[in-house]
Amino acid sequence: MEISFLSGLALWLRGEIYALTGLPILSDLALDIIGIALLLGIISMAAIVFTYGERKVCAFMQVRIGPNRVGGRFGLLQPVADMLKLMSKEDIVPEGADKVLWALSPALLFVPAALVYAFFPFDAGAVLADVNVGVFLLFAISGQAVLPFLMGGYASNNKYSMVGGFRVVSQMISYEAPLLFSLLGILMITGSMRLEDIVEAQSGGLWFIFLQPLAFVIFLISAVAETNRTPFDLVEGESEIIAGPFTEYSGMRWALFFLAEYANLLTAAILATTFFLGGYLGPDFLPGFVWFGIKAVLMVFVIMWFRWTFPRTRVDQILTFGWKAMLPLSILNVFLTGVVMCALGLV
Amino acid sequence: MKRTETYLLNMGPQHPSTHGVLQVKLTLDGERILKAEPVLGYLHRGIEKLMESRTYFQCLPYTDRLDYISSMNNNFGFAMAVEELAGIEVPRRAEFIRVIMAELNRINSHLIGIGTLANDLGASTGMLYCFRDREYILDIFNEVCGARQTFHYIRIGGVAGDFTDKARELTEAFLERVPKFLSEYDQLLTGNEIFTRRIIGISAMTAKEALDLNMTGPNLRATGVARDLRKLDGYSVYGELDFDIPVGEHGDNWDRYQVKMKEMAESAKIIRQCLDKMPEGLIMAKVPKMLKPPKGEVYSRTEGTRGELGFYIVSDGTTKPYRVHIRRPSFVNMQGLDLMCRGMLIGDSVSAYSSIDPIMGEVDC
Amino acid sequence: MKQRYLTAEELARIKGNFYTVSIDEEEKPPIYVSPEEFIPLMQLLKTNPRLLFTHLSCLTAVDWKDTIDVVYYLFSEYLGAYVVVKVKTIRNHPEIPSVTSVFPGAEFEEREVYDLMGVKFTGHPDMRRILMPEDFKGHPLRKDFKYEKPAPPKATRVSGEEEEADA
Repeated sequence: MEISFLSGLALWLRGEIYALTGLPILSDLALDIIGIALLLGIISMAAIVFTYGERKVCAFMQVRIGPNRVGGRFGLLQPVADMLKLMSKEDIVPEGADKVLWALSPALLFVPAALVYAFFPFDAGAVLADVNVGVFLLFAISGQAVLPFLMGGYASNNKYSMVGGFRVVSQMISYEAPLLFSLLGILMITGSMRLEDIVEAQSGGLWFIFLQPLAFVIFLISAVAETNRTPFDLVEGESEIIAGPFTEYSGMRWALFFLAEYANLLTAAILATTFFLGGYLGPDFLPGFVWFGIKAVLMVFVIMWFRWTFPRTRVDQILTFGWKAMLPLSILNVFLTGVVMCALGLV
Repeated sequence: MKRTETYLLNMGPQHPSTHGVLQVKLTLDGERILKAEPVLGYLHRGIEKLMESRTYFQCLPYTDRLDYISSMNNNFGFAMAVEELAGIEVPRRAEFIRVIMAELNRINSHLIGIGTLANDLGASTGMLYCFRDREYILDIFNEVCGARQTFHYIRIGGVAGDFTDKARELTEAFLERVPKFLSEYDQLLTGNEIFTRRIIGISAMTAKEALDLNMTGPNLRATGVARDLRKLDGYSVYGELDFDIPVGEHGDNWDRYQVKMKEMAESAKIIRQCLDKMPEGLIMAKVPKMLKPPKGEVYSRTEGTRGELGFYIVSDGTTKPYRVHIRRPSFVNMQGLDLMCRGMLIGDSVSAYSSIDPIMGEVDC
Repeated sequence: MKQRYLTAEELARIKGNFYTVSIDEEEKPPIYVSPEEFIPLMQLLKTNPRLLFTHLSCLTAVDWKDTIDVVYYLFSEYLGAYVVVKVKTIRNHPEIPSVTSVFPGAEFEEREVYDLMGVKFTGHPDMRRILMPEDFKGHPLRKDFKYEKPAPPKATRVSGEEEEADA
């Protein structure tokens, strides 16, 4: 395997620690801890940067100025101010809430959102958990995100939250299927579930967005639906059910939901990058992880763009669309991929 | 065995899309609405009672606070009622200025109506575009009367200040913009598949139902009844102006939205004609400082932005009205809410609220 | 170009069928009608093909200190004219039949009149207060209404332990 900047750095670090201590277990452990810390750092940094970015992008699209008070002309310290505000907020527990479930919900939501980052190849060889069933595990874990929403909605003892909880279940389960089916074509072509293999299969500019354009569209729509963002933000449904499962949360508990939301947003962008945009591959003048970052941020921008342009769909429309349009189309895509592969004699 | 239970959801009075302090008790079966009962009165300030202890001139500012989005139209309605009661003849120039202001305010109000509809459907960008264009109207109002809301500009007997050259310039510039921003909304909202799907066929209402419920204004016209008091009564100088009454067909949210969009273009047409026809002259009639209308009563109605805005004033010959009743279009239109929400989903209820377009200051009075 | 009111002749023709209908003022002739004949009169005004007063423009009440008049302004697009119907009620027990059977759209306005003026409309589907709170006493638009400020609620401090004991 070729050695990229990030994996080279890791190898060097491992060698140094081994030379210092003489214990291979310790060097592995140290590297894992560093990796986990890095990933958590990426997630929280993403939340901070994206809150600011989203406000600015949204302001730009809505002919406004956006944050410009804290931190100079461009309001660069706005996320810090937000964080401080959230931290200093009172933690209100609604009366009649199921306290255990209620407190668990934001924490549990954050776990799958953060856990999937372990499988992402940020650069050649720079994967925290390099498993050969990466795709499978990824969706198995991110599928868990449904439950905390429902828990939060159920435990809040609030009808809006309850409705939001129900909506989450029906919506996320409906879109899980087309999301997976849209990736099936790629898995058939690459013949591997390892994410790095999938990226490597796209070398030479043969990105899957060109080979599988239909799958890309389906994937993007489903991914937006999975992250519960406009036009599929029925779960929050600000103007209908106020904030759905989050209605009763305040302060840092709410911030955890928020963090999970932005982690999911980045996850969707990274998945799109990995599967369709050639991951960390790119011309040599920039290191791989920079390419990776550029592509991911671009996808985040596209998803934000959706949010500030489209209205919200309705609950029956979203389900009809999911089951009657997205799923058949994604199956058709699998079928077409198979036919073409057969015709080309690749099977 | 399938067993479902209905439940009650209290929407409002603190809810982002109930336009102030409207409270709606929704009886729900899952997401489907079985019954919607508006609960009013959170903004009741007793304006009718307050007016009984104020002189006619002091009453006028209260009308600003009725439907605070279309203050000019309310001023207009009240001033017309008192003028009819006291037999005051308004100078012609003032009539034209009034019509210009009323129509600008109609555009302003419809912009907010459309903007909030978009916002309630989740397209907050649509709202901000509308608010951006509303600024130009507020600039004109600012120029003529110095206020951006609660203008108190149309007075009994005329208007408070002249329509200056600067105001004319601003109005001309605004009229230039109208077709541009309308086509922009068409691109952003009207042509949007999600938006159209959310409002076509939702909260439909037949002409008979709307007439039975006494509905007026864009809500009635959307059902296909071309009743517009500007044409029907031809009050002020509307009789001399050439404009059409846009009507809908099915009476759903889409038609209500379209009627508002088209009415904005018609209003721009009216303003254009007024600017061309406006004569020079006085802007204020001779009104006695102590206005004592003769004994009697008057019911005077105008086409407010939301429908028939009527002022019923009983005078006992003193400087203060004996009784004032305001026929508030939003209040009467509110009766249609149950019909519009029944059988729809929670998500549609917010679009029903915003397409009825109630202003709670007016509903609760 | 104000809309006209019905002329004396037209009013006289309507009066023909009802013996409690009285017309007095010359200029803006209101029709005074007794509560008993009120609903048939409204029915006639709305459905008679030569009248067609299908639009209830304004519904309100005026407190004349000895009586409370309920005022209806009907408008006919067909005639291009208003007709004003007034019903006098006894001030102590104001009660008249509800017009909702003829004009269903009068529901809220009748509730408002009930709320602010205290006129009961018999046969109204939902006779409750609409603007004032349910437990409000009196009818504010009456001329003799005196507002009594409700006593402010007594501030009570409950310590944490007591609260738990209550729960």
